[in-house]
Amino acid sequence: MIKKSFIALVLFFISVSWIAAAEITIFFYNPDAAPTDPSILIKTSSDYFKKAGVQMKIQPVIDADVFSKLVKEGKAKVFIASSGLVKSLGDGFKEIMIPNGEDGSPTYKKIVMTKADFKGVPDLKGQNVGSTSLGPESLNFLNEYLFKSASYDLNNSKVIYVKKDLDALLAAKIGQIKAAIISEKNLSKIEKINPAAVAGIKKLLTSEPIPESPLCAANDVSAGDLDSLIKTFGDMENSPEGKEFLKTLGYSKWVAK
Amino acid sequence: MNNLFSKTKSALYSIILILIINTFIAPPVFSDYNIAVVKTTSERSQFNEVADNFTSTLMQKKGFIIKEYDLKKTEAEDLAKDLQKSNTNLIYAIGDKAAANMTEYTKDIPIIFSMILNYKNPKLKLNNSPKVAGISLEVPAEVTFMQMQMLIPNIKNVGIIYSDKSKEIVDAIVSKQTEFGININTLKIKSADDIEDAFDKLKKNSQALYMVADPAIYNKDTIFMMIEKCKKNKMPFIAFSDNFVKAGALMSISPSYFAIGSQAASIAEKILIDKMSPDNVGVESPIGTFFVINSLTLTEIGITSNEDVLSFADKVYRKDDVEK
Repeated sequence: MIKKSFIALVLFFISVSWIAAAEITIFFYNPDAAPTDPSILIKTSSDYFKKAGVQMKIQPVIDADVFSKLVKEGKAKVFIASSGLVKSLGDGFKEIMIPNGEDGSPTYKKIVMTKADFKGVPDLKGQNVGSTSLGPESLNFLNEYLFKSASYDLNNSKVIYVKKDLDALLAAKIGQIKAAIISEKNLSKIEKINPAAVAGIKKLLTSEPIPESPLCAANDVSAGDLDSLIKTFGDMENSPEGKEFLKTLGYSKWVAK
Repeated sequence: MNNLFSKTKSALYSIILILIINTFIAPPVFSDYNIAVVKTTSERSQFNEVADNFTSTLMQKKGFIIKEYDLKKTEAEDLAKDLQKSNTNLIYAIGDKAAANMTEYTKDIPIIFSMILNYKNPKLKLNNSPKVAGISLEVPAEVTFMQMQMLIPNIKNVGIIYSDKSKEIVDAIVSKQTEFGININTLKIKSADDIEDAFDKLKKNSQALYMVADPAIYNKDTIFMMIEKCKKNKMPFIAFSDNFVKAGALMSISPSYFAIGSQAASIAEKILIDKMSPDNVGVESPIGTFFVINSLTLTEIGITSNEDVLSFADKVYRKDDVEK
């Protein structure tokens, strides 16, 4: 009797650990695309994964440095991250899916907002500039996509990293900082919600098109898991739950790379 | 062979010449700045978030050596002596214990403080010290009101109940009311006992109640009373802490601890690179907010907001959260 119970218990634990292992955790970091409250992302994604009948979950990470560490230490095998952060993560993974924005484009733009009477980009020298963080390579990334065209090096400014674009924009509006670097999509949203929040400020600079956040998988992720991820993300636009998840991210669909 | 030897010799001479020129003509290389981050770990988990973001912001630039110290493991006076001896260029003191001790025990090292509820408290000796700059925890009223307008689109009249304890804060808000296009109705009372009557008077000309940090009138009982009265009268209650939002207030705006660390890094650059004196930097108001919304209260009091507002909230309380 004791032997049988022991065998049953062992089998139970093996099956539980097998089920747990079968679940794919998708780590997520992108302040330009996601709602600030991670629970919104968790809810809409789990509704979709449940509907799709797959063992997947989204794990938002709110700190770019923590996210980088998880990927580099091999703890985050599957992830979605802003392209600026992806560039700094090494080469132990591959991009498997690319999202399209609501306008159908696989890229988006960042902009620099200042008070209406601010003269020009060179005047940002020595000044406070607000931005969300794209990880340890934030300054290089912003220089490459945004300030290179204006022959300006953001290292000459003091960058204050904030959690959300709204923080940077409001700080620029009331003069706490000289400029806010935000996504063009978020500016449109804020303008629609409260036009007064953007009154008296102007667009100083617009970036080159920045690739949207890819879905990435570590090189040792199994072929079966890759197929499952590609199918689940590719089908997202075909169900109401999937559409809701896409809307939360500000995307229209995922395309295999 | 001779030709090869002669070419190698002239190449060597060229390298030596370049090295000599570089030594004397090249601009001097700045030595690294030593920064001490002093805090009491595990006092508040937010302190670590602040310290981490301070370090990660500065580490993206060259020339900073940052070391963290824990006042739980080291005596403040001993640490101050060590920092003084070891040519520390700047101290970032997180929390009132670290700030007060470092200000008292160090001589001329610039200090930046943050995460202190009342930095003007005379016991801390921070206010008006020439070697001290900092970041307060008071979110600018303009920022709070702009976020309130995002959630409550047609708001025009906001009521504030206050006492002598919060007069300074309320005067500052009233002086800026035209900037954010909202009419502020204030009512001064003496104690918490008068708050119910004050609310009944104020509700006649106010669409929302804005809570200021005033211990003379707001305690656990009066806060819950105001939350319930506001709900009953379909009035938004704007709090300053997310704990009250969980309890039923409509929204709260408090400082973002994440951004405070990065803001302190910008002040460190002002002092070390731009050579500004700490008293010229002064005390800055915090950049960035922790924006919290109770979606149940939003529905209960019948406010229709643009659904995108929720995507800018740092925390949205829903049915499941509130029942926990």
